[in-house]
Amino acid sequence: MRRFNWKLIAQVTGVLLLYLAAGLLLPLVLSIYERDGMQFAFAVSGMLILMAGLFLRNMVGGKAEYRLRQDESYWLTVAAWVVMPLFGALPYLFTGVTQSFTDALFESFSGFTTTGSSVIRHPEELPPSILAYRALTQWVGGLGLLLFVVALLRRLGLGAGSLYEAEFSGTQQRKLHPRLAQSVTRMWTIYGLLTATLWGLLMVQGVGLVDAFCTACSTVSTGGFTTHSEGITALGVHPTSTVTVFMFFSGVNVAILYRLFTLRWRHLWRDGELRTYTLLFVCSVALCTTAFFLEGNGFSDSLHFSIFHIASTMSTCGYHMPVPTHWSFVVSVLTFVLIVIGASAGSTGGGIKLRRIIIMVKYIANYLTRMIHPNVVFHVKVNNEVVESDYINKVFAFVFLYIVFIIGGGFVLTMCGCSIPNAVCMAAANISNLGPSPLINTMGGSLDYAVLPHVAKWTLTLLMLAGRVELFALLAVVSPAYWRLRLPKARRG
Amino acid sequence: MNIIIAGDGEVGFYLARSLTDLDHNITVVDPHSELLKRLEKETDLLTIAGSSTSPQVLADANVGDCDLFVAVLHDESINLMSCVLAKRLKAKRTVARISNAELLAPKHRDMFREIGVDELVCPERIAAKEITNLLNNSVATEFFDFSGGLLTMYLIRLDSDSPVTGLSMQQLVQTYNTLQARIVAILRNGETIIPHAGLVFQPGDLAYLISRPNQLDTIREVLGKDNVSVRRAMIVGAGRIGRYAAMAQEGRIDITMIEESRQRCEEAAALLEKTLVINGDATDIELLKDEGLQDTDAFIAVTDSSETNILTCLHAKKLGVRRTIALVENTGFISLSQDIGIDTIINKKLITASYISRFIVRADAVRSKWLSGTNAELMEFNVGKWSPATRHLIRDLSLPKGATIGGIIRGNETILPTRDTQIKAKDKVVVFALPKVMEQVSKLFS
Repeated sequence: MRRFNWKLIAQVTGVLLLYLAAGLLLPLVLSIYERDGMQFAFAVSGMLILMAGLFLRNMVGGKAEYRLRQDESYWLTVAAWVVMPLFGALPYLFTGVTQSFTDALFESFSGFTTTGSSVIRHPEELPPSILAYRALTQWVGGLGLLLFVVALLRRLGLGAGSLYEAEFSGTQQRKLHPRLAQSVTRMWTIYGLLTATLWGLLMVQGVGLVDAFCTACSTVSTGGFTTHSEGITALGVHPTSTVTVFMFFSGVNVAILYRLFTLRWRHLWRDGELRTYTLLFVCSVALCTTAFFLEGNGFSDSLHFSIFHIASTMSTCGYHMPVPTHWSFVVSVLTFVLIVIGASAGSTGGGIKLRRIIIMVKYIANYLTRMIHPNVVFHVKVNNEVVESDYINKVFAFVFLYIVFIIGGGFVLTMCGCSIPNAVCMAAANISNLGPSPLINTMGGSLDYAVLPHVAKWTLTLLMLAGRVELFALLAVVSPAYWRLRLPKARRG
Repeated sequence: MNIIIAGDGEVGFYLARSLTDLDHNITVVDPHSELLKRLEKETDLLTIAGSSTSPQVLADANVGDCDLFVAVLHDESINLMSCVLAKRLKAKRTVARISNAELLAPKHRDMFREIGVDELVCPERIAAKEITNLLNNSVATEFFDFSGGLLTMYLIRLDSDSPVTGLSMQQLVQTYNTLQARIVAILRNGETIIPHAGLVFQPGDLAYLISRPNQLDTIREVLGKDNVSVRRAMIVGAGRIGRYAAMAQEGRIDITMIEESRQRCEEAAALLEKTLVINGDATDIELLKDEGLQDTDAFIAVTDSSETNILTCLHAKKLGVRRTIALVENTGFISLSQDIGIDTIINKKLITASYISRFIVRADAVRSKWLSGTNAELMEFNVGKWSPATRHLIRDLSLPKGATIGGIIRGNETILPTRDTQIKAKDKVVVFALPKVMEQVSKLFS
């Protein structure tokens, strides 16, 4: 058996760090231009990241063999998603915007995993360069760090197939082009175009350059960092509507968005997941509006808030805005359910993913038929394609684990002094990479994560990571079966 | 180029893997979703599970944009049907694999074109042809003509009594300076070696030579190969390959054919006039001896089982048969079989892939030959007007380490290049290259 290819993992992680170092040039230049005094911190952290990247790529990585086995691809996924935020925390530390190492790490993980939970109380007081950096981490993390590598490293060749799988494990989706590099490039192009369009629109509507950039990055990546403590409404009425529209589309499968952009609309509506997504959106808005209206809020207020709130929740963007005067318990329940369901598979959003939910619901419906007709033969179909029973098992396992993670996270948070509903909501919002939801406020918690004890912050960080790598990669790396395979050999060799 | 390959297993996968390495956009359509999943994980291509005779599946594979549609399933009627559909759905060119050589007749060509099948490929027929060629060419175990015979590539095994074993490459060039051939590569223990001046030849090496035509006698003398003229041959297996090979050779040499299945024997006997068809088990050595194995000059094992073919060939070799040819379908066995001394390996997958690659227009390479036992390729390039290769003498070209120039064709003239040769525009250059340097080499000549 071949030896574990940790060299390649080091090399790819190193390359990622080099891109991070290059990305730091943007806030650095902005900092020099705005004279906000942060240039030194960015330069130092940039140098450190550059050095770490070079070390990993050249010294440790060296001449790696360009092949990845399945188990190695899990390691690579986890390594990339841990190392990037780890080094990405340096700027927060050096600029001193966070109080402690834990806070810096929390902020960084929240950025890269596009969660958007923040320990920073008043973002409007932050220097613009830091705001830009925060938004940038979300943008990079949005489509997936490994896809970033695949797009830029055509050499990876063979292993790239399993990387794509590792990043898109939940989707089973067909590539956009026979060549991996090409299909990934197309995805990045769509992603970039969406961001640029939103940025442009916001600028036209009178939002400042930096605010518009940050909002665009955080929206399209479904991250949800805001530049103002009172939320997105601080930007104005029209920008808020624009952002709402883009939030909705960010929760849609990127491959579908590609069809939208290439004007292949004929097949668009045939996609079952998009149909369900839209239907769920419309129904939820209707329910939400009615609930608020019945609680005694104005109809127009209720409708506006509902549309924004549902788009933000379903795409797992997680922007917050001032809530209507009278909150409704029905909305709380609805929001919680939507948070756990999450966005469409293959989108930048998080959560269990709508596709899995569709598969589960169809399977259970079929199962009920079986109770009446014991000999019935059935298949679960999504978009007219049969879903294999292997995959269905995986879906059920995933959903079960997801619930276990939420309960586990909630348990630890309760131990840290949060009320039970608040703890569970917080755990769900973070594992779904949603972040600040008005739900947490209304459950008696606070969107200000700075007040939480360290243990709680670490727990939430872990949940964000687990949600982002879709649980299995993380579990594979720590699973006993995996180590039983590895350890005896290490002793022998 | 966008290529769609419709297959049902090995042949399609092999073709897909090789073509992906050459930078084509490949989509594989195959009914086995489990196998496809593995293929897609290992190789950079798109796979679609489904039947290639379904218009919906073909549309999913984006058949309208494809430059070449290749159907290589085992069932020829499915292949033909798939090609007809693909052509109607706007595939530019279609190739179908067939197993009945009757369809290849020139008079049917237009008919197939009309219904949308542009090219037909019959691996069994090509394999039989290759066997015929090898029987007529007594020295080489494999050979290939470039530019209508202006240059020929031979694969020759160096025996232990050959005068060149023990010599280094440099000594060889000095001793035999009249030799009109270049050794472009050595296959040793399954490893491809591009020779350098200090390389010492060992017995058992397989040498790839490129030479001018009609040099075979000199080459034979230098390499110390006897001229085996085949008078009697024994063919084991009366499948299509065996039958086609026997049909081509009948009358010229005495052929004994051995086949286990009674029914196949009857069929073969009905088809063949002068061949002695024996019903019996080829692994029964006594039977082979009784039928005159010791007196045969060539032993050809083409049964459906690679293992039987290899083992019976080994037996024949041991009993003193000069030339052994085995059909080996399992690609993993190829280099192993070469190592243990079987002269020639025939592999239908390689043959089919090699043949189909003709239809794939690379920007610069005209023709390429895929070789058995090595993943290196022989390619013929048309040197472009502005190609970097025309700017320097060969010695100053930064030719990558895994490549050698075997020969140059200028007009009707053949040049065996030395370090001081100058390549000119419009030359045809035959290059032996390992896959990892293929791209560099292409750049050099385009």
